[in-house]
Order: sequence, then structure tokens, then C-alpha cells
Amino acid sequence: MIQSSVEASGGLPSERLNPISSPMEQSTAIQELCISSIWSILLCFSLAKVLHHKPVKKESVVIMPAFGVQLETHYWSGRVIRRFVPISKILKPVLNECVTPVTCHWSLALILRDEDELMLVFQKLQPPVRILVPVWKALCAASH
Amino acid sequence: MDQQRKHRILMVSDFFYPNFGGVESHIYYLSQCLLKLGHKVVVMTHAYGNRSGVRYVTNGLKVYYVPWRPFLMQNTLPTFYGTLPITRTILVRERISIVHGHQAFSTLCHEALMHARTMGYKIIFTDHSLYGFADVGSIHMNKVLQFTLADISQAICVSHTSKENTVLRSGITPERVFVIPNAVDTAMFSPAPNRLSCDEIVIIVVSRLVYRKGADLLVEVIPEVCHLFPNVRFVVGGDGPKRVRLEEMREKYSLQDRVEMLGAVPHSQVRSVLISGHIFLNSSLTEAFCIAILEAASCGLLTVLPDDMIVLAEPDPGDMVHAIGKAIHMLPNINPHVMHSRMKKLYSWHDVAKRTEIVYDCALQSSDENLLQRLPRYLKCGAWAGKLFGLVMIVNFLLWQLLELWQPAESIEEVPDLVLVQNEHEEPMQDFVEARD
Repeated sequence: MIQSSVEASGGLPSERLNPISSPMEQSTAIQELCISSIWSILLCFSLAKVLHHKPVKKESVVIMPAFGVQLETHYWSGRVIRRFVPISKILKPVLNECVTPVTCHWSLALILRDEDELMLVFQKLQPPVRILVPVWKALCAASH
Repeated sequence: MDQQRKHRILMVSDFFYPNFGGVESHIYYLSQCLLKLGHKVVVMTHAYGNRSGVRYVTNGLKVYYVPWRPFLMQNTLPTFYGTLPITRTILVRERISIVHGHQAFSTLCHEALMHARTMGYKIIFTDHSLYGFADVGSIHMNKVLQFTLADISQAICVSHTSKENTVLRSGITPERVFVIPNAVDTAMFSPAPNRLSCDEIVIIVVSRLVYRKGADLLVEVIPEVCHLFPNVRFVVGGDGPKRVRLEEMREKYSLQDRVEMLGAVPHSQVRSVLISGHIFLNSSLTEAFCIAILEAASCGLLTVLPDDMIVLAEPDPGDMVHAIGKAIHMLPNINPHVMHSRMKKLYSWHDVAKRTEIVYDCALQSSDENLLQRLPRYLKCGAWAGKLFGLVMIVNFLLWQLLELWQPAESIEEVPDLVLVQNEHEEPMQDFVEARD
């Protein structure tokens, strides 16, 4: 079979069976491999960065003294998710240190009466402590 | 001379509360005494079941239960570089100055010490156990220990025998090893107010019923002693794989009324078990430092220590029976309260903490070195192992630099020190706020 195909095309057998033979072709192939791997790494990196960014525009806490607290999450798409907590339901706002397998960050949560779970004030975003502390102080003052 | 400088110490080990044992109580008591001396102590360990995250124990000792699952005998899965991010985060946010690892068998300890050394912190290691040299497990363990101790600032051992053992296993220079014996909480282990009568002599055995603690020796000794001394009773506390053998021995010689098996004894009830007896028997084949014996001596039982408080024997049943006989004869001359006050003077955790503080001061005085200066120490560890260790440290360094780029140290917020208020009416968190302002 091989014999007949070689005769039909008339080319040298070595070129068919061994496509990369000369040094110049070898280096070109290596160059191509490098370029394609660099592009794929860059692509993966940018994909990771994009996926990392959450589609949340802002999160807000509206404290209505003696009435309740409204927690809002605004998305870039225009969607807004609101949660209202009556003031009598809040037992205490707490600042927690959350430990994950790779890092440790602060979060602000509300301890609610008659509930097992803590309610996170900022569910999507992770603001730094210097922003959390005034919010916590304000919530403490309101819930007393 | 900065004698009064306060340190910020991170204790790392796989073994901590809610587990009970020698290493765990050592870390706990040492941390409490260091807190009293004014230093800041943080403990890092792996999560125990549901207990994961930050917890505060007595006197504001902060414990990080890092959510890495234990995989074998309470040890975290050794991923070499997996714990680098969380270790770095804890070291930066608590502004740690010294990292103190405990127990050669703890993988978390070795990893954390490696990461801390890469990041330039001073490290100290305390070894609590003796290990052999011959079997495969020991050979691997010793190689890992050699790696950790190749670049350590100082090491602490709990006894001179342990120092010999550690120096031989790891090849570290003896000048770098300090010996600080363990202590016992003499306030908790005090003798019974009234002396027990000597008509019926009770011998107490409290230990894990495993091979290393000599459970097989017990199986041979107990029937022999019961036969020779009709007025002797045994109380055996503790659980383990060898318990079945002891139960079989009890049935075989019909000693149900003379040998009482208590099963696992919670740590809080050990004292009440100890004060119900006259003699404490410890049949361990190997112990680096036996706290159980100290606890028993603190309760006024006749056991091990200065010549008039101890009867030693070879790990051979005949010799042990002979020694128990000797102890029974010595019994009327023992005064438990005198023994307890001697123990109080000899062994105290405050003393241990002060000596450890000296080790910390010594460690901080050593110079800072960069990676190139430290690498030769790793390369000396062996023909193949040295190069492997060097490679591991280089990769660790590169990963650390990568992490610094991804999440700079400045972006990790530092934790303000929590000051616990003694007054119950004030809220503890109030002081947190003032510290921030």
C-alpha cells in the first residue's frame, strides 16, 4: 500500500513518513508551540480574571431607627435584591473572622432571634474592616 | 538590652483542644503562662469536625482551626504548598514575630515551619516524643525532621534523653537544642484530703492501651501480682486496641473482682481516679517525658521520681512484679502531701514559660538571612535528599513571591489586639472598638 502511494505521488518517502526532519522545520514547530501555549495561558488568565469579577454594582445597608434594617444588593444588570429585617428580630450584629482553606477575611453578620443561621449583611462583596466597623457600630446603636 | 520585649508567638500543631493528650496540654499550659507574662500567643491547628474557624479559649487565647481535613491519625493532608496562603495570611494579620511548632509527627507543623522560614520569620521546634531509627516509618519521619531542623533557629526538647534522640535523628548541632522539661498542673492534681487505709492496696494504671505503652507487659504482670499479694486490687483506666487482651486475661484468671476496667477516662476525671489508689504503675516501653507519672506523684501516689518516690524496673514482667512488691513494702512510709509540695516546687508551668521566653529571645537575636545564604544548609542533608530539599525550598520561595504579587501583604488587614475586660457588665467587644480608634 505504502509502495503504491509513493509511486503515485512521486514524492520522496522520507517526507511522507517523517514530516519534521530538517532542523529549520523543527525550530519553527517549537516556535509555534511556544506562541500557542503563551496565547492559551494568557487566555486562561484573562478568563479567570473575568470570572473572578462579580456582577455586583453595590451593596447597601439602610437603617431605619426603631423600625428595621434594609439590606440591598444592586447588580450591574439593573436587578436589585432587597431584604428587610425588623428591628425586634435583631439580637446582635457581630464581626466575624471567616477562615477558609486559603485565606481569612472579616464579615459582618446579624444574629437573629429564633433563627439558627447568621444573616450576612454584605452577602456578595467582602469590604475591608475599616468600612465594616462604622456599619457595625451604627447597627449596634440602632438595635439597642 | 531588650529583656522586657514582648513577643507575638504562633503555636502550630495538629494536636490541640478538643483533643486531650501530652502535646495538647503542653501547648495549652505554655500558652496560658506566656499570656500571663504579657506576650501575645495565637494557636493554629486543623479543624476538628464542626469546630472550624476562629475560637477564643481561656484568657483570650486565639485559636485558628484551619479547615484542612485530617487524613491519618489526626494529621492534616501533607500537600507541601497547600497551606502557604493561609499560613501567610495568619502570620501577616496577627503580626507574628516567632513561629513555634510542636511534635515531629504533625504534618501541619512541618509545613508551617517551612513556610514561615521562607517568609523570613524565626522558628522554634519542640519535640515531644522519642522515635526509633530502624523501621521504614521512622526513617521517613527522621528525614522530614532533618529537613525542618536544617534551618531552625532553636529547638527545645523535653528531656535530656529526648535531646540525644533528636540530635541523633536530625543531625542538628547540640548547641542549638535547649532542654526544658514539661510541668504538671499541681493545682489540679492534689492528693486526697484523707489518707486511704492500707488494708487493701490499690494499684492504678491510666494510659492508652497500646503496644508502646506496655499494655502487653500489663497482661503478664497483673495476674502474677494478684497471685503473690492477695490484698492488692488493680484499677485500669484507658482504652485502646489492647483492651481486648486485658479483658481476656481477666476472664482467664477470674480476676473480675480484683481488676476493674474503667474504659476511657475523660481528662477532668483523671484526678479522682488517681486519688482512689496508693500506687501508680506505668509500664511504658518508651516515653520522652511522662506527664502521667508527674500527675500521679502530684496526687501523692508512689511512683517515679527522686529515689524515695520511685521504684524503677526493667521492661520484663518478672522484674516488674518484684518492683511492685518493693513498692507495697514502702507504702506505709509515704506522705502524699509532702510529695505534692515537692512536686509543686520542682515542676511548674510558669517556670517552663520563663525558660521558653529565654529561648525566644535567643532566637530573635540570630541574624536575618536570604534564600541563597540558607540553601547550603539544606544541600548538606544528603546526596539526593539535599538537592530535593533545596528544590522544595526554591519552589516555596517562588510560590511565595507569586502570592505577594497576587495579594500584596499590605492588603491583608492587621487584627487589633483584643483586650478582655474582667467586668461582666461591660461588653468585651467594646474594647475592640477602642483599640481600632
